[in-house]
Amino acid sequence: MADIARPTPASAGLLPAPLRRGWRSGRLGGPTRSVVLLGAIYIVFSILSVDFYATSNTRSLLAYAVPAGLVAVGQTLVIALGEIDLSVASVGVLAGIVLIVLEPHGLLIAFAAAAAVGVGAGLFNGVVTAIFRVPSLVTTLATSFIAQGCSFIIASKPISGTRLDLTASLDKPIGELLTVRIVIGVIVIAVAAAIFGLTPVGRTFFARGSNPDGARLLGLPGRSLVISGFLASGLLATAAGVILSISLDSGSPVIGGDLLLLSIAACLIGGSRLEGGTGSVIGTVIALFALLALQNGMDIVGISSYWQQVVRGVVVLVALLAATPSQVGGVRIMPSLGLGGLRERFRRRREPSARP
Amino acid sequence: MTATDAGTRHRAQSIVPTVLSRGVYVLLAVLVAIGLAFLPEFRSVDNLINVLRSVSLVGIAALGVGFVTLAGSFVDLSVASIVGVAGVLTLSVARHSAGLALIATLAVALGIGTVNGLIVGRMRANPILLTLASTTIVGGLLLVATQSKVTYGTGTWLQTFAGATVLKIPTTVIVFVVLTVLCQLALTRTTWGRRVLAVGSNERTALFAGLHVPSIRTQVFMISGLFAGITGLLLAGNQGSATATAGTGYEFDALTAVIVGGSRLTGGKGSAVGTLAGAVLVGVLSNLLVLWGLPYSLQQVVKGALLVITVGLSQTFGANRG
Repeated sequence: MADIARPTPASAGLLPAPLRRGWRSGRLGGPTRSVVLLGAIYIVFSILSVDFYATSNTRSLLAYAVPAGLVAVGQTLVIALGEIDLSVASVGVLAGIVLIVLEPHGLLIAFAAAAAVGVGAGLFNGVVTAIFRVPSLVTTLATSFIAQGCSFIIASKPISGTRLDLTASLDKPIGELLTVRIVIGVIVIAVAAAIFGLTPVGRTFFARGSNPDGARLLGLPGRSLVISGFLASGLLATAAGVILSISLDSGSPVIGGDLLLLSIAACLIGGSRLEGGTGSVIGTVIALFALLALQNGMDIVGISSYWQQVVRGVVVLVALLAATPSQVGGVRIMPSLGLGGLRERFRRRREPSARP
Repeated sequence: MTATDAGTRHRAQSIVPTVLSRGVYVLLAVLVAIGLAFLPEFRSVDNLINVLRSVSLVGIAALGVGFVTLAGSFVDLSVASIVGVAGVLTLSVARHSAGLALIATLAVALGIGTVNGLIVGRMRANPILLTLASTTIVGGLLLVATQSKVTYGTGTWLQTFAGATVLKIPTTVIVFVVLTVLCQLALTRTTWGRRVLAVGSNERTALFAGLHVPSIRTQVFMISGLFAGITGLLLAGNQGSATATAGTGYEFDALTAVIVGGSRLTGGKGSAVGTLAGAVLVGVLSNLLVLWGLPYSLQQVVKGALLVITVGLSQTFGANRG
């Protein structure tokens, strides 16, 4: 009963192909959905406020998106494997604190120690999940507890940094739109997107996520793939935390904010499914940018942070419902109450001969 | 090979797994023994009662989350906001009528749980994200309503009840124990409990056996909402004040108690008594750390380690394997 390829209807040509496909199946693909969301947010807030699409605002928005983007890319890899990483925010924050604390002893030591935090957390998550078969939900929840506790032990109150020159060089403008930080972020994300989307290594992530047993029978690595996924996520989270700490020139246990929620929401809107086997770095990054643009737009228009929280929740809810499948493995288990389900039921009644 | 041989060997092999799959009780016994032996402060009745009092509120919420976990929906993260809503609502309505406050609070808590359950059960949304979204929305609306001001209560019978003790035992502890017994009975002695476990162990089989999976999913979320509501009510009664964010952390603490208590994360195996033991274990461990003079932040680390160790042990050796 899978949604079989059907001949293009006569109305073809009015809408671009991805939108048309999405409309037919009742839901849009991840990247398309993200682009539509981003476009809608830009149009609405550009009408509401001229400040929103000013170059300076776009630049600060891009800079703001870099740490969150790095975290979200790591989360995309892990979710594609069918796992989840709840520890990204706390591990990143811990790495940032370690960096700030060790700055006086030399930058090399500080960066190495921060990277060690990411590697350690990633390895721990990966090994416990893959080898001891603890569900990643529990493993990474535990890691986030541990990292949070360590953060509070090291920095019970915010520690200020000693290297303001680093902060300055990180946010040095390049041209009208870019800063050093944005360039670093774009390069890392582009490399990740290329590896994940274009190489056989990326394919194995999807294969493992969509069918672990099948992937094992094909001779693909199982455990080492999970470990490397968590390792990548830990390192990207570390990079995010380090950038956050340097740009604030301080280390504090509370700067992580809603990085975790943002990263998961961006993955889902961007086309990942928590069951694994789907998703794309590009989709996630565009979705993340849309979410941050929404937040930024609401700030500019002057909506209170409490209402912003409500709106954020509603966006996640809508994204979740849009991404919720009405079919599992080609078998319709339960009728969905979503738009897709209704449309499909209606269509089936209208043209019964289309189904064998 | 005779049947006796096989029987003996089977028994010999199963001792280690049995002990380790009951890890929570063993660990609890060891910790209590250490505390009783080496720490005179731990031994005092007041301290022991304090430990129980401190875990009882999280424990009640954990009982509700336990049903969600057993039915295979992992966790109900909306516990955090429901505890907040329940507290604020109780104290603001109790000014007019304590009875009305009780009914309104429980009705709202049940309502939020029902909405969660309907969306997870009928539309098959991912429970973690759905409850994350609903807790963000409800928490946000609550912040809008209270403008993050503290709501103070007046001396109603609700507060008197929550603060009272019977034979030195706080009423919250009694409520916790009574609810645990009720949940345990519901799980093991009723058809409904069997259905919850069946849905949790294999959804498809349960479906083919004729169970209405969406209804059962909805019901466990309703219970979880209701129990979180009771927690919020008692918390507000205990403290005499409530804030929108009072429940923050309760969702993960409740989940910790459920998992440490030996419930299988994918559902189908576990018990309410285990959840009680898990909650008490976390409480005793925190208490020992405080008595040893270790920093409060270390508790988070220990909680994390406890999670990994208990689940790792039961995954490696226990009956929950696979």
